[in-house]
Amino acid sequence: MNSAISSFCDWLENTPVSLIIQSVSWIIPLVQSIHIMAVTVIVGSVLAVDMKLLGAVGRGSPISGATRRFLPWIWVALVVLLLTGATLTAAEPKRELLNWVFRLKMVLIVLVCAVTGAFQVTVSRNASAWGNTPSNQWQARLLAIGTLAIWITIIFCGRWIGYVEHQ
Amino acid sequence: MLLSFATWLQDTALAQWVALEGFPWVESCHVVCITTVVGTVTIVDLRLLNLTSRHSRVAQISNDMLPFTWCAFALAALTGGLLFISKPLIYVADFPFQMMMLGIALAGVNMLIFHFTAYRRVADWDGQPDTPMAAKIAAALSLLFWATVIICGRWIGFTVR
Repeated sequence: MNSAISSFCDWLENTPVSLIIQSVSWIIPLVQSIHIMAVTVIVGSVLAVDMKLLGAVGRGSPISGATRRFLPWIWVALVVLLLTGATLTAAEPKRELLNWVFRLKMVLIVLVCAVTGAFQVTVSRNASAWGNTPSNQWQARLLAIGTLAIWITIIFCGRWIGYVEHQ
Repeated sequence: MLLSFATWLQDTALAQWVALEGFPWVESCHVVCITTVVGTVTIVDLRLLNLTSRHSRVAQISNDMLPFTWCAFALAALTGGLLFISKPLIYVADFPFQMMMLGIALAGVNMLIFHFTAYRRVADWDGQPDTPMAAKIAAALSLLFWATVIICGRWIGFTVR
C-alpha cells in the first residue's frame, strides 16, 4: 500500500504543476496563509453554532437561525481548504500522503463533516425540536463539545504534519 | 542591557523547554487561538460591513463574540510569548515578525478608534437598515490588518528555522 502511494508521490512531484509550485518560493507560504484564513472561517462558524448549542450566546433566538447563518460558511471554507490543501500536497506529496498525522487529519475531517451534515439536515427537518434552548440538551451539549474537540484536534494535526517525519 | 535580558530569557528553563521539545505543541495552541481571534472578529466585521446577520443587532453580535476574541487573544499572546522566548534575538530582527507585530498594533489602534467614536453611538444606528460609513471603514481595515497578521505569522516559519 505504502509503496503504491510512494510511487504515486514520485510521479506527482515530477509533474509540471508540482515543479512550478516547488520552484516559486512565495507560492507555498501564500497558499498556507489562505489555508489558515479558511480555517479562521471554520473556527468562527463552529464556535458560533456550538456556543449557541451550549446556551452561551444568542439566548432567545432559535438554533435553526444559527445553523442557517453559520453552517453554509463551513462548507464554503472546506472547498477553499480542499483546493489549497491539494495545492500543498501536489507540491510536497510525500510530506502529506506518507504521513500518519495527515491520514488521521483526513479521517477526522470526514468524521466531523458527516456529523455536521447530519446535524444540519436534522435541524432543517425538525427546527422545533431545536428551539431557543434545545429540548434534547444532553445531545446538544455532546454535539457542541464533540465537534469543537474534533476541530481543535484537526488544527493540531495540521501543524504537526510539518514535524512528523514521513515514512 | 536588552541584549543581556534577551540572553537571560532564552536561557530560562521554560525557554529551553520550548526550544527543545515544546515548540510544536505551543505553536499548535497558538494557531487554535489566532484562528479563534480572527474567526470571531470576522463575524463582527462582516456584520459591521452590513453583509451578514442583518437581522441581528451589532451590539448583540459584539457582546456574543468579543468575550471569545479577548480570551483567545490573551492565550495567543501567552503562547506567542513562549514561542518568542525560545529565540528572542532572532525574532526581533526578523522582518515578517516585525510586520506581524505592526499588524497587531494597527488592528488594536483601529479597534480603539472605532470603539471610542462610532461604536459609542451604536444604540443610535443599530437597527437602521445600513451601518455608518465609519463602521464599514473600521471593519474593512480590521479584516485587512488581521489578514496581514496571519500572512506574516505564517511567513515567519519560512525565515526563522
